[in-house]
Amino acid sequence: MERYAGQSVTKGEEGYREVTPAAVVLGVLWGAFMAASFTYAGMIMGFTSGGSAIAAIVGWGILRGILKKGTVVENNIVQTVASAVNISVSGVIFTIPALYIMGLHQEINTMYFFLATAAGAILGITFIIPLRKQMIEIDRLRFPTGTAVATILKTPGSGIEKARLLFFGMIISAVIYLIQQFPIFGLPHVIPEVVDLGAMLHLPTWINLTVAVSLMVFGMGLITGRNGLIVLAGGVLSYYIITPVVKALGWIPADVQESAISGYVYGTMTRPLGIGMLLGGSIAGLILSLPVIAVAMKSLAQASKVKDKNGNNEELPIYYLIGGAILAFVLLLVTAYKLGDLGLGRSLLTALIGVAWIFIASLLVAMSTGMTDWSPVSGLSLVSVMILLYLTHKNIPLTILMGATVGVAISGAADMMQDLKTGHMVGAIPSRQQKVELLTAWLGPIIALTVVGLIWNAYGIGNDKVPAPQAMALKSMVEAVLGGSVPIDKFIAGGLLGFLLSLSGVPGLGVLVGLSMYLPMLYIIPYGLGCIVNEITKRKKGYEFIVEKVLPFAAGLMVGEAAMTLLFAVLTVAGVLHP
Amino acid sequence: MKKLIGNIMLTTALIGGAIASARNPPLWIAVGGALGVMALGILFRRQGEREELHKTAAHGKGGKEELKKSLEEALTEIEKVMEEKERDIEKAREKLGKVLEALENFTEKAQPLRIEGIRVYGEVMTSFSKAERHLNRAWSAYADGYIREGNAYLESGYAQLRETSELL
Repeated sequence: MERYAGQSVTKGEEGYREVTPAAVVLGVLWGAFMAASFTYAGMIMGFTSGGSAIAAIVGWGILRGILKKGTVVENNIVQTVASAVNISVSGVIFTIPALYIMGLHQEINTMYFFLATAAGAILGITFIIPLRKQMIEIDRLRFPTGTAVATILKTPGSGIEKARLLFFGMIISAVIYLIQQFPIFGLPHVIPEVVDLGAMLHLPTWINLTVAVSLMVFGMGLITGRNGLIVLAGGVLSYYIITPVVKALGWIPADVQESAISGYVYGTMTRPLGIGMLLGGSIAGLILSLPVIAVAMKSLAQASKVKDKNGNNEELPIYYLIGGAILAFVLLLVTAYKLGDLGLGRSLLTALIGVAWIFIASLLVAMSTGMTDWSPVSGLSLVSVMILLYLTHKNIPLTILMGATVGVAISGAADMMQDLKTGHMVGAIPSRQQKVELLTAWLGPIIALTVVGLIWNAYGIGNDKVPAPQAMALKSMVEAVLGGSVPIDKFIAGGLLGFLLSLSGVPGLGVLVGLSMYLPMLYIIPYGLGCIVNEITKRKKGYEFIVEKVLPFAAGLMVGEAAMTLLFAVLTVAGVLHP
Repeated sequence: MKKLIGNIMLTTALIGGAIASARNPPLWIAVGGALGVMALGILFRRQGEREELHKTAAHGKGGKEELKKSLEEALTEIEKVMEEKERDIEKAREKLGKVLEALENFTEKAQPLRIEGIRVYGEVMTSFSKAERHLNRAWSAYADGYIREGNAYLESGYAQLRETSELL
C-alpha cells in the first residue's frame, strides 16, 4: 500500500481532502479578516467572537460553491485555522491597549509585544495536547460551540430536515438580533435586548430579575443540557438566597441604595467567591484527573509512535508538549530578566510560576467551556494580574505584557478544544488539526497588534471614539491590585468551597457552581432555560430527538447571532455604523 | 439513602458556607464548620454512590455486561452497514448515522465502570472514542463520496469497537 504524503488513501483514488493548500489559505485569509474586524470593533464595542461557525459556512460556500471540491474534514481545517488566527484578538485587546492608555507602551520594544502574544498563541495549543484525550475522549465534555460547528459541517450530508432546522434557527436568531440592534420604527421596544422581569412583577428593586433576550445564549443552553442546570441552580443560590440573607443580616453598607444592592453583592461578594471557586474547583479537578491524564499521556505516547491501521499518525507526539513548556519557560524568563530588571532568581521564579499558571488557567478555561461554553477570561485575568504584579515587584508594563501571553494562551486553549471536539465529531485526524493550528495561530497576534498600533496613531485609545472597554477594565484591575482592594479573603474562601465541591463525585461541580456565581444572572436565565428545555425534551421525546431536531436548531440559533456580530464589526470598520 | 443524606449535607453546607464567606470579612469559623459538614457529606455521598453502583451492577444493570451487550448490538449493526454499502451507499451511510447516534448513549451507560477504577474507565473510553472517531470519519467520507476512505475507516472503527468490547 503506497501512500501520498499527508494523505490516507492508496493511489488509484483521489486522496480524501483534509489539509489542503486551499483550506489553509482560505482559513488564514478569513481568520485575518475576522481578526482585523474584531480587533477594531472589540476596542469600540467590547465584544469579540471566535468565529468558527461563520468560518465553517464561508468554507462551504467557497470550497463547494466555487472550487467544487470541498469535504467535511477539509472544511473543518478551514474553521480550525480561521478561528486560530482570529481567537488571539480577545487576549490582545484585553491587555496591550491598556499599556497605550497608561502611556507605558514606549517602555517596551514592539518586538516584545509580538513575541509575548505569539508565544501565548502557541502555548495555549501545546498545553492542551494531553487534555484533548482527557476532556473529549474520556470525560466526553459537551463543548457546545464545537458541537454546533460540527452540526454545520455535517449539514450537507445530514439530510434536508436538519439543514432546514439549522437555517430556520439561524434566520430567527439573526432577525431578532437585527431588530434589537437597529433602532428603526421603534422595533427595539418590541424586542428589547434585556427585559426587567422584576419591575414587571413589581418585585422590590434589590431583587435582580433582568433577563437578556439572546437566542444565542438560549441555544448554548439547549446544546449544553444537564450540566447547565447546575449553573442555573448556582445562580439562584447567588442571587435569590445569598443576596436576601446578606441584606437581612445587615451586611450591606448603609450608603448602598436599595436598587444597587444586587449589584453590590454580586461585585464585592459572590463574583469574587465565584472566581475562588473556579480556581479551587479546577485544582481539585486536576488532582482527581491525574490518573486519567496519566492514561491520556500513556496513550498519546503510544499512539504517536505507531501509525494506525489506515497508515495515519493520529496523535501529536508528546515532545510537542515538552517543547511548548520549555519555550514558555525560556520566553517568560528572558522577558522577565530583560524587561523587569528582576535578577536571575526572581526571573526564574516568575517564569516557573508563569508556566504553571498558564497550564492551570488553560485547564480551567478548557474545562469551563467544555461543560458550559462560558469562558471566565476576565476573572482569570484578574488573578493573572495579581500573581504577576506580586512576582514582578509591581512592574506594570511587564505585568501587562506577560498578562497578554496568558490571555492569548487561555483563549487559544479554549478555542483549540472546541475545534478538536468538532474534529472528533466529523472524524478529523487530531494531529493534523493541531499542526495546522500551531503553524498559523501566531499570525493572529501580529494582525491584532498591527491594528491596535494603527488605531493608536489614527485616533488614540481610551477616548470617546475608541473606549477600549476591556483594556480599561484591566487598567482598573491593576489599580485595584495596587490599591490593595482585591478581595483575597473571598478568593480563599471560594477556593476552599470549590475544592471540596469538586471532590464530591459530581464531575466539575466546583467549576460549575463557581461559574454560576461569576456570571451575571442576566445571561444565566436564558442559558438555564435552554438547559431545562433540553432536559424536558430528552425525557419526553428521547435522546434521538435531541440529536435529530434540537441540536441543528440550537446550532442555528448560535450561528445566526454570531454572524450578525461579525456583520456589525465589519460595518463599524467600514464607517457605516457609529456605535 | 446514604447518597441522599450526603447530598443534603453537601447542599446545606454549601449554602451556609457561601453565606458565611460572602460577609466582609468572611466568618471564618462558620466557613470552617461548613467545610467540615461538606467533607462529611462528600464521604456519605461517595459511599452511597459506590453502593448503588455495586447494587445495580449485581442486578445486571449498568455493569460491564450491559455495556458489552450494547457494543455487540452496535457491532451487529455495523456489520449490516458493511453489507448494505455494497448495495446502496446512501442507505448504508444513513444506517451508520443511526449507529453513531445510538453510541452517544454509551458514555452514560459507561459511568458505572468508574467503580472499577478511573484507569480502567479511562482505557475503555479512550478505545471507544477512537472507534467512534473512525466511524465518524467513515460517515464524512461517504457523505463526500470518498468510498475507499469510508470503507477503510468503517473497517478500522469496527475493529476498534471490537477491541473495546474485548477490553471490557
